[in-house]
Amino acid sequence: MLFNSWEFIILLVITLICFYSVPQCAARKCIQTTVFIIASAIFYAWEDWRLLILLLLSCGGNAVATVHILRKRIAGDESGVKRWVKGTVAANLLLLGIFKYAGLMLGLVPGIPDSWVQWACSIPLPIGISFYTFHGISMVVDMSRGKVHAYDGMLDTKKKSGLYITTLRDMGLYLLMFPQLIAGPIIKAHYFWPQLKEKLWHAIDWSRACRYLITGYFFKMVVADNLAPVTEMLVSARYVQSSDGIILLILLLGYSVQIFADFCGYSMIAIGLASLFGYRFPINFNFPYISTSLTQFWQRWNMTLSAWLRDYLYIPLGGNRKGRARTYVNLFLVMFLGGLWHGADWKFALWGSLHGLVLALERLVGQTTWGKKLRIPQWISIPYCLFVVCSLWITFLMPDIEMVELFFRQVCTNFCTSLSGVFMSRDVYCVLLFSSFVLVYHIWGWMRENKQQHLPVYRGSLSYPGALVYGFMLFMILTNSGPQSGFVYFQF
Amino acid sequence: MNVTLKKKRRWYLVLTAILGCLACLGIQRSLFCWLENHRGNFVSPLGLEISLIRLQNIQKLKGDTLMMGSSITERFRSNETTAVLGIPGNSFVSGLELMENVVEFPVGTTYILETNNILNEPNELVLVDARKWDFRVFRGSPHFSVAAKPSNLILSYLAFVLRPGADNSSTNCDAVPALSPEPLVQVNDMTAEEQTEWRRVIDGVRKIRQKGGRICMVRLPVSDASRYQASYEAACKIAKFAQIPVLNYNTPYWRNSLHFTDGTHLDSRARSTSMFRDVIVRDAKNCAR
Repeated sequence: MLFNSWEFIILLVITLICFYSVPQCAARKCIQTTVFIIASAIFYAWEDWRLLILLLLSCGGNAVATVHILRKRIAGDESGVKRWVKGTVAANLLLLGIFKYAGLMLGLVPGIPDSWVQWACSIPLPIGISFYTFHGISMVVDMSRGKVHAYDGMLDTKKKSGLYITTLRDMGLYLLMFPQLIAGPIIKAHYFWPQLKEKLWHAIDWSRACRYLITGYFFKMVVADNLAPVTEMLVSARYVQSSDGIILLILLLGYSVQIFADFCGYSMIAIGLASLFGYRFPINFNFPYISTSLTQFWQRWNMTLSAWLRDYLYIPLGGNRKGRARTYVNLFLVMFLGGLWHGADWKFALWGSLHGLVLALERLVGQTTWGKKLRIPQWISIPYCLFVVCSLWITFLMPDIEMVELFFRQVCTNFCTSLSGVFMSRDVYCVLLFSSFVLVYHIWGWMRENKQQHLPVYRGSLSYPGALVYGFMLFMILTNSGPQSGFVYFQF
Repeated sequence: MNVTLKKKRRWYLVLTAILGCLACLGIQRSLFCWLENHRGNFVSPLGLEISLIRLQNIQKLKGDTLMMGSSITERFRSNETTAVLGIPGNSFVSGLELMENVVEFPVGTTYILETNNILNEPNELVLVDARKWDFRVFRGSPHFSVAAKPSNLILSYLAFVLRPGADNSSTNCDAVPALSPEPLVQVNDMTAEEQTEWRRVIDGVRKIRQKGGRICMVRLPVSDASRYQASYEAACKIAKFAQIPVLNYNTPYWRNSLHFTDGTHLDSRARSTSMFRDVIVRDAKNCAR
């Protein structure tokens, strides 16, 4: 089910009514959680109910492991905790491996018949598997590290089955919760568990919910959906061959804007929806296109994934504590795996690796004596970062390396045959028009960060001009949405 | 600030947002009316976008003649008497599919079918994308329909102000000699394999006949005279089989008098393009069967 579909709006209204109409009683939290889980299950199983089986398997397995880890931790059995954590993480990764990477991995093994590889490639990819697997891992690791204390007092007071049921229910909500189920943001267990309590209608943060929902839907339905039909032409070899390089570059800029608007829009809708149910999700994007370096870009883009990779991969690998060479290797490895997480295709690995390479280079330069003294003005560093990020999106977008090569060859050899043709192109108009919204959004972000408080645009809270802007966005959602399409990150 | 004042401010903010939304609707409505009064085109001048805009085009189709084909046909613009439905890379058959349940033409309508891409398989993307659109509540509304999308209105405005369209001026094609249908006697009959292979096209022709339409096939000119020769030969066989007249405009006269943007597609803004459309309609009406 898509957030921008009528079915979802109906489901949301019914769920909200059921969720908040639970009377004040001892079991209120339990009933509310159950209502939310049922709604999420309907949301997830809307296209294919069989998807639920795998998710329930993951949920059950992680819940059982969580209880066991809790027991071992309370009993002070460190080796037992480690054993369980290793086993559960391996099981989660195995699940991900089978359903997402089986074809890719089998293809690497020499001597494997092609029919086997094709069979492995034909295993359907369950939507959101990358996200709920990461959630599962987050829970068991956080429980082992003693960051989640929700059940500490239950070991003595509750019966064995009661503890399992409570954990299963909470785990169910954590993995299934529909605002973040399919494309994140990835919420760490220690951030989510303290929020598991009964929710009240009058405690809804309407301002936050409306602001995020309107902006999210605006980004998705107006910006991303209108850009999608234009930028999808970039994957056509015939189109690339017959277009001027300058138009291709403008379309690449359009794709960069589209992927931002699509994913940021989804995350904002998720935050807004969670607010309606009394949950607070972390922000996932913090004006990434005004980053002054790639390092900063990854602190602003898909922030929850970056934080997850840092906490559960980079730091356990040793982070920057094991010498300079190991730091570079770790950086590269994390980005390689992060790239591969986006899809079972070597092009994603290449995209991640190139990011890792530039990150390592930036770090290398930053650690030299002259690099430490170097102060690059923002009017150089922001375009530099934007250029690197946009250029690397091409490896993310194109179906194969040949297409990437064709794209750059066309840009270099056939840059501009007719300038009037460029300005008369509807595609260029479309990209420039819809990118301008994202540009304005980033300029506003830059002003806010640089505390340009003398400018009328900067306000701590929502102001009347701000309300007018939201009115404009609402109008655009109603009248200017593009053809309905899925979210780009659904495929991951 | 006390709680009542805070609540009051919150409501004022909501009211401001609603007022902002209504103000935008007012501006959009004014622009729409302005363009309507000035006979501006509400669709993309190049008309290459698929899906919603194309479907909107279909909903607006009217007249006693319907030109169908690929993007080559699409460069002609619809007017009060002639409807144009061209889909990039597709034959007229895809157009028929798109029109199904959306628009109906009366008995006696002249169907002009482009031969250049007549054998092309349908582009499923175009069809699926158009079928997805089910937000019909606001169809035709000057506020919410696709034609009234603010981005399209701005584009239409720019197109109108910067590059006045050819359709806004009347054309006179009396001076152009009429073209007669090609004699198809020397064309071979269709083989059984060809009948199977071209089943979709033959069925499409049959469907038009069932609707009471009169048909004429036209070969549109392209810079490279020999291009689309195979399609033309196939079209001639189909025409012979189904007793349809064929007009061949791929002559030096038309190749020289028209302006092509890329050797294949006509310049949709050139005045000669709309005159050419009127010539085709005039000739086709005379011979369609």
